[in-house]
Amino acid sequence: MRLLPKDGTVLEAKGVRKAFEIPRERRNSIRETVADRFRRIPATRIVALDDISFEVRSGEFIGIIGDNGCGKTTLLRVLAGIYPPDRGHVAIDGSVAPLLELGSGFNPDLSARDNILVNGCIMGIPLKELRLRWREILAHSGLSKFADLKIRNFSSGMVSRLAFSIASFVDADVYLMDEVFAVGDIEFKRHCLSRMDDLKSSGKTIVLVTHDLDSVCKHANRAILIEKGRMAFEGNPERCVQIYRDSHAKKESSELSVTLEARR
Amino acid sequence: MATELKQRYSGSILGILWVLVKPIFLFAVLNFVFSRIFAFQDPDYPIKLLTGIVLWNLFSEASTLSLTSLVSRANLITRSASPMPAFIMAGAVSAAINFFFNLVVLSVFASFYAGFPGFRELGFILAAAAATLLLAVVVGLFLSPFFVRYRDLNQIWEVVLTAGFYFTPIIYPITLIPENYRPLAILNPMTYIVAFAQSVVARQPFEWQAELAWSVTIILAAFVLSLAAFRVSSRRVAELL
Repeated sequence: MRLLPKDGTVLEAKGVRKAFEIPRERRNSIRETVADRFRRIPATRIVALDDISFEVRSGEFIGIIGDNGCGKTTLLRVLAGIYPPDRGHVAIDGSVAPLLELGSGFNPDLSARDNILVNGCIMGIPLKELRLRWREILAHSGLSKFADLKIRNFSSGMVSRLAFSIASFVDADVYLMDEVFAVGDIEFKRHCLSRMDDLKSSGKTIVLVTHDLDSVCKHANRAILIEKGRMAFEGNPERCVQIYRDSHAKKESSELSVTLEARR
Repeated sequence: MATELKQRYSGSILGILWVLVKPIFLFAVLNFVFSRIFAFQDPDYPIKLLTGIVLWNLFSEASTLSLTSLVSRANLITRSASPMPAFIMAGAVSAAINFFFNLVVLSVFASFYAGFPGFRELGFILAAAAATLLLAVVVGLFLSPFFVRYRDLNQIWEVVLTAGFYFTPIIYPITLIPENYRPLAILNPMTYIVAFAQSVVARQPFEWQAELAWSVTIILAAFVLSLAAFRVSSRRVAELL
């Protein structure tokens, strides 16, 4: 990992490119691989990210927006060190908390308590601290009564509450968040946002991937728009959201004119 | 690790008992066949057989669990930069918990033959178990990234394990291997580990020190090699899960 310049930059992505080979039919076994030796399966190469470069300074709140499938989640995974980039590099200074798809990492056959221990670990809370504080985490989500109940028997609302309360006990320098409040109700979302504001005011760095454009405008310092794996805009959140909305409006109107043309 | 054990047996009525029933049942059948039908003369044959089964069981479970460990932890691996070798070791070590239950049964059983194992014997058995576990981890490190790509690898591994059970001197003594095949036995690192554990439990002198040393050396070398191989082969695992 390369060292970062000492000007308060905590996260740097430089020329990041990531492509996936996606075979039309995926070969999932040796049998298929051998059987398919003589029948070449055309692979589609999808460039999920191309030439992504940006820096994040300590204490910034960055919003990343874009269409579904534009590469936002892949970008976050590359930043978190889950996917190695094909080209370019990523450097992060300090501890990272990857809060990706909260709650989906739960193991349905384990109790709430065990899931707190396992999930807390992947989000970067030391196990020692988790053993001491799991009750606190459970109480925070209002589910103290269900410590030994398997997650299988939880409602989806309970699951997301538990996931978020684990996440809010994470203490890291950089938070990578993916659609954290996609599943919750309004109350849950408000709770999440106020928690993010707390983090921001205590000098933590946040990179948030979301479809919630209003929150980006209201809370982020800076926003990045990604279109088909490339950076389309970086800067002021209001402008970023405006550009995103405009591009969609344009698309819609062009679609509309196409249909009108067809009718004529 | 504890979570894995809980997960595997929670919901089954016999619970932890299953861990004991499986090897004992296998033992009962094989013991009957070879003591009565083939009429092996060695009075210590049953205890050696059980030792071999328990140790092989450890290898077979540990290697299978470490082989599948990356796939069964997919939900963690795709969500954080995880220490993947740790998952493989955890898979192997969770099999060790079963081994300890089996070891209790083995010890009780041994008291009818050569006598209840003392500290010295237990120490040797644990050393043999540790070597076995390390070999299972080597298998996991080499193969688990490929299991992510080829999901039928575990079925192939099952066949290899069945073959290994018969190629390892478990149901027959090492001396039954014809002299001209004997040098090949070193290629199976389990051969002399099992033979060593059997002579420890039966309290008989062990004649193959040099071969045992070689087996352990082979395992250690393979471990170093497998760690290096894993670094390369595991790079893109998260994308394929």
